[in-house]
Amino acid sequence: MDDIYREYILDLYRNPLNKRILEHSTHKIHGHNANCGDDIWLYLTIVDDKVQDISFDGVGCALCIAGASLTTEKLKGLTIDELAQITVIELYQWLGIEMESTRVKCVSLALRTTQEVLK
Amino acid sequence: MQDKLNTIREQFPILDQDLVYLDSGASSLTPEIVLESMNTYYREYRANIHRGIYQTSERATAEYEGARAKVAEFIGANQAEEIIFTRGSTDGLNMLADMLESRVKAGQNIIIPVTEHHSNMLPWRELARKCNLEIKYIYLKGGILDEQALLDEIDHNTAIVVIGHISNVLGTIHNVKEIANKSKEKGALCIVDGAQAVAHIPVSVADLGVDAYVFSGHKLYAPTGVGILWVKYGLLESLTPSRMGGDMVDYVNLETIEYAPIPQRFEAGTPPIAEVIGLAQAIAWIQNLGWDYIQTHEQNLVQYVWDQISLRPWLKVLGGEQGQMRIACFSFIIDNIHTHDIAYLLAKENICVRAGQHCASGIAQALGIVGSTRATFGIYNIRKEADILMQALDKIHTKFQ
Repeated sequence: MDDIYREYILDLYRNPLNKRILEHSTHKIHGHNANCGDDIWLYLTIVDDKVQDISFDGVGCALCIAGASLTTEKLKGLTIDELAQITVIELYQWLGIEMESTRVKCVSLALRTTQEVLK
Repeated sequence: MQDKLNTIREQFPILDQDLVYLDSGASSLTPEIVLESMNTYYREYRANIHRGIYQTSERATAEYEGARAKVAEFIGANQAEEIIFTRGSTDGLNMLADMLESRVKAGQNIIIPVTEHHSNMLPWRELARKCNLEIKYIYLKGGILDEQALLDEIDHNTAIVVIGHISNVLGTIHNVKEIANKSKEKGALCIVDGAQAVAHIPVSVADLGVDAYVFSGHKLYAPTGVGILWVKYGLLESLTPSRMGGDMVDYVNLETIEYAPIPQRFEAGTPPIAEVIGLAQAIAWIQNLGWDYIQTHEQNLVQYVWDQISLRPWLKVLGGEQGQMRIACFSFIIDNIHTHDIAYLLAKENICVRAGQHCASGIAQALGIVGSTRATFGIYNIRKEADILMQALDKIHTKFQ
């Protein structure tokens, strides 16, 4: 079956990283994909323009959850300027899968939503 | 039976590309004979209707009005004038909601099952907001619409009861006749969305005793962009057109408007003529196949799919148990696998299904689920396609284990 559902993605889906509600976060951001129902919340603690901690919670497809896992993992410790520079292409590289137009919205939901709000 | 099935499948060359099309509930495929009828219009008598005094226009008008009579016969309407051509079910329901604005009174209630497709929910919620109607939602019981609760909620203050003839998610067939009876008894209008019904079960609006009924051509093996709003003549007479324009007036000057007779007054502008002709041809094609054949074929599929599902305890079907009357529409969930992942992986194997909430978010909300994956079968589908679906689901299930 399809390559983008490789074991690494499925593993991140079964055992997501940073999937929890962050107490005392400074930012709470909602992300939603209307056509497939991915629905997540991102929690960030930002101190002095730097992401001190970040987590997410919610429901989504395997690609959305895997994408949110690595997004939260990679954004930790970055400044707001630095996180704005992260591209969807990089996210795909971290996930180790080919970019495909039909699923970009799923994969990038966490990243896009965070960047939109912190712009 | 097999010969007939082969003849049917030959009408759909799109299936030659190894496409396993299990999304007829969203939109059905269109047989060659229907495409041919539209081509003939474009090639031989392309003209506007009700206007030209030349031969091609007269022929177009005759075909168009003939289609109206055909639809009336198909849904058991008492007269052809009760048929209004629309763009589809959504269009018809919106038109009707607009036209009923002057008829309902503030403080009355409207009954809406949570199982309704958004097209039979949002226009009524908007009507309720504009006219200060109380909305009474009817919920599920045992995974299907609680029809008894619906009947119990209809009271003398009920203006409108809306109901889908068949749920587009659960595939369950509602007892519209009983609901229409109770509505009539309490002085309420009973408005039915037949989008999922007309391709799968014979419908007689007269027998059902309803006040209005809509359906779309594109779910009935007909083209996109055409549908039907049927309204009982007595009610239709009391309604004012919600759309103004050409072809719907008898006399107009800068001070006065005299509407054309029913039904023309409700069909402003040039209608989708080719599509109406295609719709009539699709109906003729269905009638020629016969309901006995269609229902036997589809109910055999229902039985077969249920048997396959019961071998897979991880496959959870919405809409009650096996034995519940349903059309060949199966929405299912698999624990811990998102519906979008399922549909995507099926698509990779050329299997077309629908994923998500199917424009009926009320069901997902009532069941507390994100959505479901839906496989819907049409007259051209075969057991082998159900097998292909099941084998693909087996692989997906194993992969996510």
